[in-house]
Amino acid sequence: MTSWASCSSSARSLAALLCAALCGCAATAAAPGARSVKAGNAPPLRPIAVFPLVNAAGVVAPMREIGDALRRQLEKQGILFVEGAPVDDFLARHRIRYTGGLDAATAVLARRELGVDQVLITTVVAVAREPMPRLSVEARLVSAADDPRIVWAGGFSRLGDDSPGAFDLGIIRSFDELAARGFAGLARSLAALAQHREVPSAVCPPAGRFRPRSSYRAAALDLEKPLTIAVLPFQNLTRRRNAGDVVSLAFVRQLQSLASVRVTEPGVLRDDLLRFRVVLQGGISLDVARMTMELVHADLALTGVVRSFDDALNADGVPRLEYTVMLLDRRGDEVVWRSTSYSQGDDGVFFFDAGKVSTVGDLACRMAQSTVRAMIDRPPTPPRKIPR
Amino acid sequence: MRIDTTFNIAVALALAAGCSHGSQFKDKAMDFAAVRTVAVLPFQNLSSTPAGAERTREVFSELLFASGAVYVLPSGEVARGIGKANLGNPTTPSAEDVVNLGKALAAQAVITGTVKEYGETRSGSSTGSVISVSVQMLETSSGKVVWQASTTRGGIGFWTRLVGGGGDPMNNITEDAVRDLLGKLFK
Repeated sequence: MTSWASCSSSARSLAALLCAALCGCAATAAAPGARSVKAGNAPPLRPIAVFPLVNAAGVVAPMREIGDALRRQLEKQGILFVEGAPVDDFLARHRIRYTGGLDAATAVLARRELGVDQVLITTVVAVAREPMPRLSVEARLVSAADDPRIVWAGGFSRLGDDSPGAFDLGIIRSFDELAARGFAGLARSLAALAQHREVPSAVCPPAGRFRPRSSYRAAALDLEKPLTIAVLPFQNLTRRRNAGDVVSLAFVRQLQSLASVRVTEPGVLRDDLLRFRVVLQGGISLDVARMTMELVHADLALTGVVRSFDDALNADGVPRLEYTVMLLDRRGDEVVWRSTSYSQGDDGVFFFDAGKVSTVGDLACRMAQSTVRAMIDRPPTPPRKIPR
Repeated sequence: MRIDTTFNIAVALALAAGCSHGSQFKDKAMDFAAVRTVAVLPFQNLSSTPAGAERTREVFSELLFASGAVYVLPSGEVARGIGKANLGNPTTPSAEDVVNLGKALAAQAVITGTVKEYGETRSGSSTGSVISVSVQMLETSSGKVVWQASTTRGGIGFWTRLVGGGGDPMNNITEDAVRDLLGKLFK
């Protein structure tokens, strides 16, 4: 079966050229198969490669439709990108199966062969069509360089009846429309980044009700000074596939939003862990954490365990999430933060579902944001003695 | 007078029904200030809930760490130490095992525990969650028990029998039980 992208690429390129000729604008093609769509008088944007979307939803997902929705929104914002057949050929040529991250070797090859400066990594975290469409996505833009870095991180989590409005007129029953609205925000953010405008904040709204239930903070922890943090894969003790990935991606996004913090690209970390045959079974040991931080030159390693993860896909379901997270310090070789959070979407909701969080993606985002906030705000745990 | 006495006894019994039960031992000769690093070993599970012991262990490690009294080693580090010390049964280590583990992990004490009950309990048409757990602290220079405590929380209380409902969530009851244990440690 031919890819939808390869069928339409030549037709679309021709249409773009005709449009350019009629409108008197130049259609730029920075790389084979690259598409550019005129977007008003916007200056030429740097090309990005859009890797195939990764399905971390734990169910069969309409990845093609979701990819279409992303592509349409990127085109609408005039973002120059490469996707479809050229990217598929590139991945096949170099036998790259994992598209959930970008390691250094793949980044260099992508820059050389696809002619891109950045790669968009997109992960579908939750998806459903019935009984109400829902879609949660985490995305990040990674530089295609010798040392790939996260340039931008964003995401969205939407349910069709998030904002029903008066007489339920605001309910979105079409999955395509829901996906379009979700990706529109991401694409606008990417366009703002490319045009060096102010990028809308990617953090979730703060919520005290999702703060950790218990925590320990060492005096040495200071997230307001320049730090590199490696977010290690979370141990998944639930039955939901990829639950650990979902939570770790939520933390990547929230930590990346801090001005002083640089988060190691998860693809780089994954590549190092595989190369050195590091197995994270039964939780992380200090040896492994130390070695990982040395490999990626990180100051801190964040890891954790996901104990409960409920997507709440039924009509009246409430998402639930429980995790423990730890931050290990490379210098002191010890835990500088440890906390446990468990929340559900209707925590603190009393009247007519006002403030209810309906998707597990949104819940993970808010809980991660609250945990990161607590890492910054909470005072160090005072020492205490055990009496005789 | 008799009615007053009977009433007072009835009230006292009703209040006592909501209290936890537990015992405690603390070695008076032990200098707990010398305990800086602790390893919490996997708990023994005598309940019918497979994950009960691990869950209780994690909550205990978490709250002990959050107390700021000691540094609790991450579970991955404890697992590495168990492998290094060649512990045959990490839930019930011998004194020699405890000494070896202490050297492997550079820990001054290890904590073991037994979960006797964990999960749902029924009485007639009423259900509730219950946990019964006992923990021990063994110091690693000699393998001796220096602290032991037990507690039981949850169950089916008066109001649950009267008006129904499933009682408190298991998470909350587990935390209550662990806080009770730590309260005994810090008393």
